[in-house]
Amino acid sequence: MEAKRKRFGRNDLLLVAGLLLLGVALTLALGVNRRDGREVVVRVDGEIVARLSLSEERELPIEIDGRIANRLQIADGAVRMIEADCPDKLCVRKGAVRYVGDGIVCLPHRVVVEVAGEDELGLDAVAG
Amino acid sequence: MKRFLAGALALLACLALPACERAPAADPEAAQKEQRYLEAMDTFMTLTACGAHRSEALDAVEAEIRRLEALLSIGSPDSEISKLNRAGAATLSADSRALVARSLELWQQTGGRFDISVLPLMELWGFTSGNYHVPTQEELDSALARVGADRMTFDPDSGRLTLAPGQEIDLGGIAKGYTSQRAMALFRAAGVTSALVSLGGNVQCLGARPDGTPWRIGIQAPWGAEGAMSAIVEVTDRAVVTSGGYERYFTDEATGKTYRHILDPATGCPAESGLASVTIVAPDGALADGLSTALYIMGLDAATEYWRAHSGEFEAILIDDGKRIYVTEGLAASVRPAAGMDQPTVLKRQG
Repeated sequence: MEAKRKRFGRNDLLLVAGLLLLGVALTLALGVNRRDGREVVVRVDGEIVARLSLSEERELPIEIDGRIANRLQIADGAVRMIEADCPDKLCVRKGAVRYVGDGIVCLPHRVVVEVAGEDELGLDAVAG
Repeated sequence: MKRFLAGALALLACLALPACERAPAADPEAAQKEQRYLEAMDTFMTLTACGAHRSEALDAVEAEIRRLEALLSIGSPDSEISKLNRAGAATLSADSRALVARSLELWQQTGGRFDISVLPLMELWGFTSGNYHVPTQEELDSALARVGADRMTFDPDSGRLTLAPGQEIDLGGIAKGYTSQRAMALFRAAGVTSALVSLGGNVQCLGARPDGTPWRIGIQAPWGAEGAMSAIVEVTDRAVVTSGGYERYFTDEATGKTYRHILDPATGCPAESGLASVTIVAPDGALADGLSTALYIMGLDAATEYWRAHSGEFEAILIDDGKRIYVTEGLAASVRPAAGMDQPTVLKRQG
């Protein structure tokens, strides 16, 4: 047992190298392609109810059927759902999102919060 | 509906950051922007004009769109083209005459890829009605016998067009580009120097934004969600027209095979050239409209060759089914890929 642990063989080296490579690949895949968002688009039932800058710290109460059903918070360039009166609270548990294309969904309330980047901003038209 | 959503998205993008409001404060009137939204030519349209004469210019453009729609639409039985299709021959009015002349020229130049006579094939596949159907070879052969711009006779001087028996034409592949081109002329005549129209995704702009920066046009991603971008191109005084099979298609339930709506006039079947979309950027809207379809059918290699032979007339952005973007040399500095897309491959004038 003692003898085996001392030896750092070729296979261990390969394993470490492999893990390092995987780490680099994951960082590249998740980091380079993930751009920080510029704004947050909030939809209720498919209708846009708010567009907020991700650089401005604030809270947004979301009113549904005359009551505050959800509460959003923007801080440190990220957005999170801090309150929801739905039973599952999946949206609150999702935590903060900051990258373009990421989002938070509160299914029971049909609330969709989406992070948008500069691609979607400032376009004058879309050809297609 | 897809078109409408794309228009609505473009509209939202415009509302989010109104370009015309960023103009220098020195001349507030020049910075004033007005937008109109209308449904015409079977699609959703957005018209934007800036400056002092914006309202009367937009009135003129809107009226012109309605006039051309009434003249050219095959959806309306009273249009000049519908009457021609029923009668088999007609002496065309100035606009239809110009469009047919242009179309036949493009037919010649593109080796028959751009063909205004594919309507019988579109009907056979159900792309005009939505009652989709995968035709048998016999059905295809019978429709193909009526297709071919070389089978009609046209006298450009008198404007007399005579179709072959059973032939029908549709100018829909070039009409929106022609219309946006007309819109630019009307804007200019009204004294507008900054304007942009999107006729259901056929975009054309006059000048630059009022602040002098180029217009930013998103190129719809041929896959994924509506409104997702594949690239962004910056232009002044250009038409930007994209054709892609993603615009209309159906899946045959029996085989699971998907059929896209851009038909190759040579085979009568949907073009499967390996390209997912082709965007043409050109000063001439009608040319951009017609070529976007023709180059889509050609595929990357033939399209590149075509551009090299006509590179003074247009630039192009080609996206293949593997999500790779190819940009012609003259546009290289004006295009950037959207998030998650690789840097475009630049197509050089000298292969």
